[in-house]
Amino acid sequence: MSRFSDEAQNFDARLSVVMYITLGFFLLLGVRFWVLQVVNHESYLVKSNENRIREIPIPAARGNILDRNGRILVDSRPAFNLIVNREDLKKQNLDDLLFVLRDNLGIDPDWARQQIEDPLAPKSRPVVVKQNISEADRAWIEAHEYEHPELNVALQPQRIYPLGPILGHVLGYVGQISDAQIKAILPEFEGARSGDVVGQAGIERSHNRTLMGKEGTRRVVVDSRGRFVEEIELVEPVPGQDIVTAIDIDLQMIAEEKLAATKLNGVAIALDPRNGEILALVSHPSYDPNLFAGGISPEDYAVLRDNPDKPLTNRAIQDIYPPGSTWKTVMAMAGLSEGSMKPNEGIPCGGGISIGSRFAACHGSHGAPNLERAIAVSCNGYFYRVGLRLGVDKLHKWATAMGLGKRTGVDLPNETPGYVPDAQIKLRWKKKDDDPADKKYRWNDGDTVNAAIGQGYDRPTPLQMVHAFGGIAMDGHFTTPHVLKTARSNGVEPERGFEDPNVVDIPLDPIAFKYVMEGMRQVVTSGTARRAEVPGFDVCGKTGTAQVVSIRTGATGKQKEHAWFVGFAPKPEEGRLPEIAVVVLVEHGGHGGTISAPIAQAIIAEYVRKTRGVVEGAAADAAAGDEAIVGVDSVDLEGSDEPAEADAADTSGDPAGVPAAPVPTIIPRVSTGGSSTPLPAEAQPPQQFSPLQGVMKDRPPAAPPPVPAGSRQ
Amino acid sequence: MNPFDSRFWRDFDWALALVPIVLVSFGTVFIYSSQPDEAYWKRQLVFMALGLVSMAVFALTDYRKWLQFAPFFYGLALLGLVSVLIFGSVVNGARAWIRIGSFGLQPSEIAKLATILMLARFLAQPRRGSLTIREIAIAGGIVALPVGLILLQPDMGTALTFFPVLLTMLFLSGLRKRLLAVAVCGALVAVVLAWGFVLKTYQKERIQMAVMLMAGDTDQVSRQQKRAQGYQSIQSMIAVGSGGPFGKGVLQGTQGRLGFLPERHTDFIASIVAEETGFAGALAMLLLYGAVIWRLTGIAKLSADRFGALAVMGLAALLGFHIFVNLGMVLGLMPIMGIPLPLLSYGGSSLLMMFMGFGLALSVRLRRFVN
Repeated sequence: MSRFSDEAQNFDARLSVVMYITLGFFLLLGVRFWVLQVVNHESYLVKSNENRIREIPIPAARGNILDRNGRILVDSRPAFNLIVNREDLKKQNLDDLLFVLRDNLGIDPDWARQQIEDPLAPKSRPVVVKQNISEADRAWIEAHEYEHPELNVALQPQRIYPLGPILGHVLGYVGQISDAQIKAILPEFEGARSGDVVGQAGIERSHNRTLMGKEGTRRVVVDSRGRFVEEIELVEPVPGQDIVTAIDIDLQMIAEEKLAATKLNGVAIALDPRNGEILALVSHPSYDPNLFAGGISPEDYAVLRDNPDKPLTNRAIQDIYPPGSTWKTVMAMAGLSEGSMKPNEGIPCGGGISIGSRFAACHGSHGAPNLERAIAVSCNGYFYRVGLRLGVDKLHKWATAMGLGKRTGVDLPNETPGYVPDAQIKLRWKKKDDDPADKKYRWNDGDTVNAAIGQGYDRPTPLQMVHAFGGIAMDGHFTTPHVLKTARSNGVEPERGFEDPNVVDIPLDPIAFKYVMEGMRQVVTSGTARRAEVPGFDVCGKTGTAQVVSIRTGATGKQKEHAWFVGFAPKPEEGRLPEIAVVVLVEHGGHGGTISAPIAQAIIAEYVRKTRGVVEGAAADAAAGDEAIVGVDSVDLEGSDEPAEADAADTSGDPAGVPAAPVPTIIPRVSTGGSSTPLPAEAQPPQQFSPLQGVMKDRPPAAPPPVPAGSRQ
Repeated sequence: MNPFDSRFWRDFDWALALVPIVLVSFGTVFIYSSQPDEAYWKRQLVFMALGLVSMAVFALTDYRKWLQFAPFFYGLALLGLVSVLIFGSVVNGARAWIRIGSFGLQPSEIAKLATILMLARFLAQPRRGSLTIREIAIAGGIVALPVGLILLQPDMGTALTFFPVLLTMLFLSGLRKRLLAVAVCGALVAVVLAWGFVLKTYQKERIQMAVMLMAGDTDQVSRQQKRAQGYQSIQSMIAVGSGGPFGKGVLQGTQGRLGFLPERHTDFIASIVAEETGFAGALAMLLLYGAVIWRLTGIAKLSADRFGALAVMGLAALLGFHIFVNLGMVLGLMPIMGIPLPLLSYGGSSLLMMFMGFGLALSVRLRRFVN
């Protein structure tokens, strides 16, 4: 039936067309709802959760580092940092925010942009744009919560090193993990993510995982502006384990002091040869780890890096030196064990030896000394001949067996292996285009003679030398040198001690052992190291005066020889083991017996004072190095309550946002007045940083924890 | 005809009267969910009460009176559109509101109904055969006046809604197929011209974004574009998608309640519905709207005269276009255009206009045998 006036208009059919088109549109909408809500529901649910749920990391308190007697070497102090939540920056113009930060909080816009736009850091992790913010900054941030919900104040621990540069190389420092370190997947950084503060040197790095603990998280719901709505989950952080080191701060202070007094660069290490515990380790000059604690500025870092005295290098394990005459102990052990000579056999000194057209001189004329005498007077002529009898292959075998020319495995990062000679070493270092048959790449007697007295191709690290001497003194029992004594329990991980991964026992010929020990004892009683004697403690050792430049060049100033002393005490006898082994190396210091032996003496004397209480016939040796003992009023210094100068290196408050550090103190200003030096180690009671975790502004801590006076800018 | 006549009750379309009430009540719950502020949900209920009164008035009035009054009504609407340009206040960049006390009135909403009536009056004149070019031009002119004034506000979205109404009414009035093809081609040319000369950069970006989102995968859109233009669409899609089959529960939607959705009580109210009640709720909503349009078409079919049929179908086209564009926007199928969802979105003028329209449709049905 047609209605209206005109059939041609066909109203009803046209109405149907309109209805079908409408139905089509509705079907399209229905299908779209179905696709979004049923087919792809999961992925949108994830996105909606990402929108509203924030994971706020709660930093774990980093473990403290203590000396063997429990005195604080490193701890953490709470510091307030300004963090930016990048997820809440999405809708904001970054440039506007950077202006706000610059004008109100004095943050360098370029630096802040770099931090915020770091492409490697996960978006969910807030970034620190200013450390150690002031009371005024915090007030400003809290007052502008509504305009800038992306800005938050977080209570985060900052590392402090109360001793400053003392022990700097051993303790190391912390810093943000670098992109390269993340990519390299290093075991010590396992579990660390971009933005994390990790150990970058020393124990801080080698034991980073022990110290770091495990970050906690707060899962919170936020609104579209990033404002806190509610907390849904709290995972408490696991604090890092405190590390008790083997270091004895008293010995360390003596060693630092004595070495600093030479005004030269050098190394002093004391360790317990019975178990490998490092009691003291000085590499001079040092650096102040506090400079790094709040992030070091590029300028400050450049000063350290470009300093010709290389304060960043831990000379004890990262630098190699010709060992000079100290090497003769190794030669004596090797020669006797291989039967190259008999202990009582007199071998002519001859004032030196002729090798082809060259004459290698001795520094004196010693007739035909036996082994003990040759060691005591450090006769070159004797050892030239021993070296020739032994040959480079056996020399290599024994040196390597004693751990020379390879890493000791000490628990400090970036140890260098050094090297000792073998017949192929010259060939290995051949210039690329040279003929391998060239005579200059063939090992010859001249090389052997040089290697026999610790010159030429002998290049161990100082730690390797003291490790070797300690092992010899232990009758062939070599332990791995280490700094960690115990990692204390943190409530999750149990307490653990150091487990030596590599104890080496070399059966030494008993006769050889006896004569070498006696020879080294005579070095101290009547030879070149008389200034190393600590009465009643039977110090043994060997001096070395290692040539730095050709013997024909003048030996003055920087060209002076490196002065070595390596020794141990007491002399091992039936039922008595050596307790301390010491190496002292003073670069360009001249004679080992004059400059290095007294430093070793001071360290050993302090050890005796601490373990035995008194030193028999103190100051008996008038020569030097005895100030350490004189004038000690109190035997037990551990009770000292001298306050630490812990805040000296506070690095807060630079208006540019880059924490400015004070001018680096590279050379430790240690008083040379002996044991009257205050003991900063006894700083404050161990201050456990409470994990007051990534505080959001909605729940600020009731009151800021007390910060030592003077630390504020 | 009056309510005391038994035929009144027999011919009264209960479905068309009740379904809109259900939809508005349903919408009010989600207005409360997204803006738990008395000002919004209570006002919406007040608007519905006013709407019901106007629906009753329109239903009881003989719709043929509008044949007479349409030009007057149309002129009044145009006057309103002119005065809003002079006295109006700006909201979201468009001068579209006249403030009366604490209430705001959108003359463009009233203009929609007035234009439909005016068009129906013109196209319902007795004639034979298909529409002539001259007639089409006049119909176009009737629409062009209010559209021009609305573009001056400027409110592109509202202006657009007039065209599907015009097209539908012309088509039903006997537009030749050839002319229809010409119109479609003309529209395409207009789109191209608009792209080249009229649209502003931000408008183009919105359209480009919409094309990308149509593919469904928000990850394909670059970060830059997300931040610039797609944020609203993406947040809406997340709201809809995260609702799942049965929703997060009424008042439990995180996208809406935590403020990730923009304009959530007006243009994006459907996102909240979909988030909190899921596919089930969305489907129910579609079915209710479908029912309204189905009833309107039914009334058009029964209409005793062409005027009634065309007016009711104009209203249906307006409603359908609003639904499709708004839900398309919510579902990431259409660019963001600022077109509300009739009956669900918060807004008094739109609600009043819709209820007046339904009242008119009821009146057409009641008087289907009276001639």
